[in-house]
Amino acid sequence: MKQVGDYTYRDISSINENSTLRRVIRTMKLHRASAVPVVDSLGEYKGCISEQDILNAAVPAYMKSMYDTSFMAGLDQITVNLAGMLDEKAMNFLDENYPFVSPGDSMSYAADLLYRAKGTILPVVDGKMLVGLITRIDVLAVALDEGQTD
Amino acid sequence: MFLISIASTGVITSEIVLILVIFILTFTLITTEKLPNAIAAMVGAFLVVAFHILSQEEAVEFIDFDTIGLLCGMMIMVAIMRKSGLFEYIAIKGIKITGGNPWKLLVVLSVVTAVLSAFLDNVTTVLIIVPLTLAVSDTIRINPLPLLISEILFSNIGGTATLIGDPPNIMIGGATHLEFLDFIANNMPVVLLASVVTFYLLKLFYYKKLTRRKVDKEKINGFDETRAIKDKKFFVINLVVFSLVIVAFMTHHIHEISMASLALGGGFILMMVTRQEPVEILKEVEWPTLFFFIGLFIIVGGLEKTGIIGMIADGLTGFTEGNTAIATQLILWMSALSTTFINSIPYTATMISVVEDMAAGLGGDIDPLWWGLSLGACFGGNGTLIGAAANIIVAGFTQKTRFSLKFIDYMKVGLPVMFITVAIASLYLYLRYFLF
Repeated sequence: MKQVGDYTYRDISSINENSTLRRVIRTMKLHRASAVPVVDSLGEYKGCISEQDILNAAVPAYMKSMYDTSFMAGLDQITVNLAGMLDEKAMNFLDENYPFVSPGDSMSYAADLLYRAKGTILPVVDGKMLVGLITRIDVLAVALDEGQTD
Repeated sequence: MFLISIASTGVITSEIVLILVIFILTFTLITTEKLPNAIAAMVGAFLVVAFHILSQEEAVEFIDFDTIGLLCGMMIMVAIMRKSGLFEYIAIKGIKITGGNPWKLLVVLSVVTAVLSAFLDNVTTVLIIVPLTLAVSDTIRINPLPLLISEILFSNIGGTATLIGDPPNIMIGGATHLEFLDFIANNMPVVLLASVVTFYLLKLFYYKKLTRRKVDKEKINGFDETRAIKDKKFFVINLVVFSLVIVAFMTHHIHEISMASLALGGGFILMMVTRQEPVEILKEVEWPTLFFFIGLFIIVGGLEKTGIIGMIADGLTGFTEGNTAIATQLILWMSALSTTFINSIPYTATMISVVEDMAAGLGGDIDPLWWGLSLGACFGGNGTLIGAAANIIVAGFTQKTRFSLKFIDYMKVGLPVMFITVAIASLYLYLRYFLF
């Protein structure tokens, strides 16, 4: 069985629970990540913030209830809203129920979670400590290894 | 009043006690929103059958198919038409005409709301108009509440104008000989008059408030109505089929096809010509609303069979001394005041049976009573935020925003508008039907 531990990417950047949204967006942009894990001062894993969570907070409620908003093409409500939220605490956008895996989990379990997740990464958590992450491409790359053994 | 008349006749059977308990319990659950409407009504209806107040066959006979079929057919058509962008197109076109002037915006959006709710149900109308209103207000940075309050008022006023505009009218249309054009002929003049007066009142309330601040008018041009239409052919087919259905509604006296059949037929034909997936469209039908109606019809059927409706009708006829003019005014004001606080759907379902029974006692032409019920139940919905389903939905939209619509703030405008429009209706009915 292919285990998560064998594929975990350990050189990761996480967000401290006291950071601001500005910091979160910068980190995500720098690492081209669709989500970042959040840890407290002891390094214990708290949850993840995904692009989807931030977008969800920035889009006005009335837009969500429209079938289509393309006729508002010239308008900038989302960026204006988002700009106003940059100094808010990252924790306000935290998804505590974002899925995660442990090093001992199978890669196929990770594949199933990623297939359903809103982000493209999965934090790898050992006990309470964040140890790394795996991405969708890690899961897909398992197939390459399979090919080599044949 | 009718309890006394029951007591005096001395025929309190266990059935009467049971149906009254079921009716009052259901009504209370609906009014206090302790249970979803559909559940309260259907469980109540089940109890009516379970206690053998009605047999299953009798219960089914009490379900008015004209009402259920018409509602269902309209829901199917609206589900398809919403995809065409037609309603957004109309609203955005209107918004751009105002050039971003807040008072003009209030007027135009209210007129669009009134016209749409005359042909669609009010809830669908506000689900389309309110997000757009919030988007425009957010864009030009004005307080959306005056616009939203006005839209609530006009969704109820506009819905009054046609048979398909408001649930009380749909039910009255289903139960009586009154046709689509009768509703327009009788209710439209009052609706127009009430609209003008309501705009005048709104001007007194809001004109200064709305025009005090400078707004970013140019930003209105960021809206592009042509983008609302994704597929031109689909848009045109929708427009054509819906127009044909409305024409068919208006010409009922020629072809004599019932409205329910026309709406359902129109819905499925539209589904066929636009190649829609039935599973997808039928999911959009508001089944809870339909079951709410079905349950109520059965419970009211129980009231009718046990003779309670007859007693209320006798009581009302006695009270008005058999005078149709007085009975019309009584029903108008009673309906308006009741539906200000309670759901107009169970109220109307009950009162339709009562008015039918009163017809026998009053004799002659009782149509004015139907118009009293229609105008009262529709206009009454404006009194408070809980007066109609659309009101509650608009308030719900604002809860998560900076501007939340409060019960009292709405009532300060809604209640005066309700009283004045009902007074207009009262005068109108008297002048039109009883003066000469």
